Amino acid sequence: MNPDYSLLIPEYILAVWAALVVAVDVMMPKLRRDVPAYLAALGALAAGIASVLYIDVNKGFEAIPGVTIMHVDDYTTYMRVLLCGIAVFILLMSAQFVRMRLSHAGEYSAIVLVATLGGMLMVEGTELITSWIALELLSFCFYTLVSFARRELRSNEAGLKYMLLGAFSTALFLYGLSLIYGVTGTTTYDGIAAALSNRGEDLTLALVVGFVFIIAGLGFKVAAVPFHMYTPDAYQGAPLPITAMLSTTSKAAAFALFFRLFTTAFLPAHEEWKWMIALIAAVTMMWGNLVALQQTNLRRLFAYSSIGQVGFMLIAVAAATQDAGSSLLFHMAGYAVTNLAAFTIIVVFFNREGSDEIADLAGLAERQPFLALAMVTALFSLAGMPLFAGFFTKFMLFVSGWDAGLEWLSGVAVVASLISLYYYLMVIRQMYVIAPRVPGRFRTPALLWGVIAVLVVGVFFLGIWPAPLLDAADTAAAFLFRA
Amino acid sequence: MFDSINEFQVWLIYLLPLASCLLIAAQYVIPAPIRPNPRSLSTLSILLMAGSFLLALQTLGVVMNAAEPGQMVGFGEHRWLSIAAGDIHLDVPIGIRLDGLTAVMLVVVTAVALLVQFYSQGYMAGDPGYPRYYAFLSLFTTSMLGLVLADNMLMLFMHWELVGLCSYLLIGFWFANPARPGYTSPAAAAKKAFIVTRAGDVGFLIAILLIWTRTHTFNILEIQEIAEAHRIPDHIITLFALGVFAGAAGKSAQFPLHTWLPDAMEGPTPVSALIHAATMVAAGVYLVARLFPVYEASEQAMDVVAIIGAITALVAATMGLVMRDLKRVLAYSTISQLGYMMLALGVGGLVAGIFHLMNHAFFKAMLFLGSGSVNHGTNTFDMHKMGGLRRYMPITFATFVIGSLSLAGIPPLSGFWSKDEILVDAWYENKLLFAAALTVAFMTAFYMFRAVFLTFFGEYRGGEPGGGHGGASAHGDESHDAHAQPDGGAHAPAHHAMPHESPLVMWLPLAILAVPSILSGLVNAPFFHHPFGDFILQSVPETLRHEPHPFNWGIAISSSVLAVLGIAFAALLYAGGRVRVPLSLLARPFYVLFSHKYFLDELYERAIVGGILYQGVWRLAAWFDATVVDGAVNGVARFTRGASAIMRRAQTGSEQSYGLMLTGGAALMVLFLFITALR
Amino acid sequence: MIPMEHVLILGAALFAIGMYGVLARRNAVLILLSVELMLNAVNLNLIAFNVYLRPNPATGMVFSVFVIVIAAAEAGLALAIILRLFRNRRTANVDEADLLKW
Repeated sequence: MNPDYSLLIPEYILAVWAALVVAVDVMMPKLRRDVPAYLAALGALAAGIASVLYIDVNKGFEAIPGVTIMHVDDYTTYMRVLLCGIAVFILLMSAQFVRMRLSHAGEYSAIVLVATLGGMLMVEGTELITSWIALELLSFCFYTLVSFARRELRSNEAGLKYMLLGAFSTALFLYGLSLIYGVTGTTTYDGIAAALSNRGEDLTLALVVGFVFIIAGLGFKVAAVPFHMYTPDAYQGAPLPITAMLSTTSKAAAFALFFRLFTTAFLPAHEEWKWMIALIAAVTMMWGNLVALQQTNLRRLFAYSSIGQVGFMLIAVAAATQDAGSSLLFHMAGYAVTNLAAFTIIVVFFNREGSDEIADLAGLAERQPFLALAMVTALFSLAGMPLFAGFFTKFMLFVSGWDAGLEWLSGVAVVASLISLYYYLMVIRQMYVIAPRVPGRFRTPALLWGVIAVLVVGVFFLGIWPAPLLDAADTAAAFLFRA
Repeated sequence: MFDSINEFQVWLIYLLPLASCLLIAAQYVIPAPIRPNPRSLSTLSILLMAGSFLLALQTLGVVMNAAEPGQMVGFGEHRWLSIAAGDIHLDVPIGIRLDGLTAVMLVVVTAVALLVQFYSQGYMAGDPGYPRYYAFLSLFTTSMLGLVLADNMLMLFMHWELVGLCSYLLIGFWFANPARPGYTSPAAAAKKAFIVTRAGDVGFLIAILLIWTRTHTFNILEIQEIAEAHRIPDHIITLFALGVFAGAAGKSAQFPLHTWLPDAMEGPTPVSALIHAATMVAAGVYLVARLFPVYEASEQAMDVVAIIGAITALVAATMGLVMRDLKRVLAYSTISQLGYMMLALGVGGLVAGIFHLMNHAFFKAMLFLGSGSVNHGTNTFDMHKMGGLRRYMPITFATFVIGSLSLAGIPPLSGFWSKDEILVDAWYENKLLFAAALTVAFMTAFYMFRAVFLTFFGEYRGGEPGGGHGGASAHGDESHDAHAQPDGGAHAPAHHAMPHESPLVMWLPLAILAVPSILSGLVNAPFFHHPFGDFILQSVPETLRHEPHPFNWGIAISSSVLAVLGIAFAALLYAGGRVRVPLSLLARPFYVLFSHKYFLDELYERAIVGGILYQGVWRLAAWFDATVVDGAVNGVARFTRGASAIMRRAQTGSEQSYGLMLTGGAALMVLFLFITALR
Repeated sequence: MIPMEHVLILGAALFAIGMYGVLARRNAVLILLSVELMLNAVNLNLIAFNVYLRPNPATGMVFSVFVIVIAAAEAGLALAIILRLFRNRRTANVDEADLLKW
């Protein structure tokens, strides 16, 4: 029986559209350099709409009979829509940035689309080889994008560090996969789960060492301490919209893979890896939030803040229950919306001022009150204040962790969350209290104004009426725990 | 009219201020030239607030008219969100819990909020942030009302956090103003208030997580029932109660988390009256009262509440003795009185605590508004620069004295009745706590009248140069609220206008508040058979409804005498318009009081002891609070930043060190595994 | 026939050598080469498990083919990035690239 190729229509759309964008760019050299980004955004939107059509589909993609390498279900659909949505916003905030600062606009936008494609495949993969290749597809796109500003030393350096460490972590990850394959004799998630539940009581050392290496590899992708070291540098060196993408697409896709792999394939060995991930989660949230206190660069601040958020999300992976899954998906969406809002604001500011230092935000409230206010919204959401998205998404994570017997971890998370408030307030102080260094108001371009407004509304919507999204996330997570 | 009330009307109490906030926020979308006049916005806000107040009154009436006055009026719950995942079912409904306690709080909050909004028309007149101020004030009121109405822990916690957020926004309202000499800047004070109260919320949130996983409900009533029936282990109840108390201690400025409140005085004075005297700081007391059955189920938790309350009351009262800044005296007095309320709850005096909360809300709000009025006339809060104001500001003077008398516990003013009840409850529970409470009562009378005499008696000492008619701009070009211009003091004009009474919009709320300050104590007076007490007690299960202790003449008389003594002492020291009290003078009151030679030997000794006490120990206590307690709070922050600075160095910038860290992490995990495997 | 353990130990040794190279080499190209060593160790593992434990289906073989292919792509991409850095800074030493830190 042939595999059901119709399951992958959103992926085809992205792939073809990416080629199209490059082709248009090559054919029409006179094209304004922000057009490819808008064009690509349309493609991402189309893929997102196509993904919605798969609601309630529950079907595997069998490369050869009996070997399901990808699975389309509500979990996939949720993440597909999320990733496409992120791509749309990334491309919209990229347009002017690319036009002003980068060359090869067509390739840039196409690679953003391909990265999204890689992320989607990561989500769907239910077989180790497939998932790994998808992961590499995403990573390669990011290596390229991070070093996309060819003449900027920082971009080069960030790309190099990210690339070399990424390759290294891939090697670790693969070594882990090979050990798992050795123990279980198969690479499909279902097969691994079956083998693990039949393995009896004895703890196979090869297996657990395999887990360690896999956690190291995935920990690198999601930027968990101590595998996070590349993150601040990559965030600072990359072109700004790519920084936003690193903190959203890369993280969301990696977590989707992480969660699916560990809750379907490795769930029978939960006891063995639960404590490793819980420990990493605790270290990650404390480290990220503590080091963030001392940052002077906005992007590095957001890098560490995102590391802190990773710690929160790892609670869900460690808990590995259905409601942990739904709160993870829920938090991911809330986090993505909030972070995109914050980064769009930073992009607008950067386009105008060419700076991403916190000190240069001084007096933003006077110079551009809308941006400052929107930034405050985003920061309060990240700090987990009620009314904003961050409160409830984070609360759900803590509840699910506590419920799964990780009380201490949720306790640490509450404290870490308090610390985070401190550095967000420092940014707010800079915008409101300190007098501007450069006088004069400026305007936000209309399109980006709209984008920011939409995202801010989203932040409030999720904060005040979270039920629809939470329901969706719950339905999505339920698919992983069907068996 | 008072027969029944439907749920929507109760929700309106909550929604009207919210609407006012949203409407004011919405006007910012309109281009500046055609925006409505700020005055009309504040009028709108006040009208909506008045509607809310009237509905609150109606609610109170309905609850009073119920078959059992104060009995819970139940409304159904509404699904806000629910997820069912496996064997876990998380339901978060929204609903109203309406009983005697709620109804009283609703009226107190809306009444004070209404008067403060009215007053602010005068106080904040001309401020460029005038609409923003009203928007924040309305949002604050909404959150506070939501907190009071909530029937489940999660809604309560969300509003709790929102209240903190609004407090941050309002303390830092003049965020661009520089710090006054010797004080923190508004922005820093706001940040401190936010962080410190949230530190307490860590405990609160953990308590909520804990109780949810044990009972799988957020509903306060169900949690109470479970705790009462001891269906969960006692240590869980205790942990939960203590966690909640940590949150309450943060918001209600209990020792050692009280350090933010004095700094919070950098906010506009009406804000201090609303948030830092009447409502938000009382939220912690309300929370403990709301969960009173849970506390009753855990003896240890009750003891902690009582002891922390007593320590807070004592420490803050000593601090109030030596402050120069009028608002700070009031701030420390607030902390001290909140400690009093906690003490009351801790010794089982639910009624006494809430009774005092209500009375305190009225007279303390009045005192704060009075201090704002004084500032309006003199442009300073420094009592050393005031004096003699009774001639220039008669209404402010009269109301301030009424408030001080009430706070000091002079019968038959409201403060006397509630304070007396607390003392009685403490007397029957623990004599040591009683002694502490009595000491505090004396000190309260003393420091309040020290403030009264310094401010209103003697000769006018010049105030502070500057406008004094509101109108601080966002970047402090004009001085306001004693945020004197940085260079203002250096070349102060030798002579300037004499202080004058504040306009009607400002003194009218003072006059209105004077009425409950005098009378509200009667609602629970013993010779009326404690109607208020019965009303409040309906909100707890029957088993907890203790008979009120009989009126104790001994305690009533001794506390009144102590209060009078405190006032007399203050009068002797400060009535002459003296600012600093020479050591020798401290002996004088004793000469006068005990003019018989008979006591002389003892008198000398006590004068010396008193002098050392006053000049030494109390100032030492003030120093201790400012340096050690505050220092410890700041020290935690500094330590955190220090750790951060060290950890930051791990990021060397070298790719290889990153790889090493990565490998090291993995290697450590493998090592850990080998160790556990070999074990 | 050679016992499986020998192959696995060879793989582990290769992996460790590669790891050492990544951590100790300063030149980016050499670091990349060391990573390739590690990937080959993975291939050895995969094939050993496949051959010795479960000869059918040949999943491990397929896996290792993919690893080889992706490693080649990775090398190409990495060299491009290294080249770019070399053009701008005239060096391919990673310890000289430390603009971004703290």
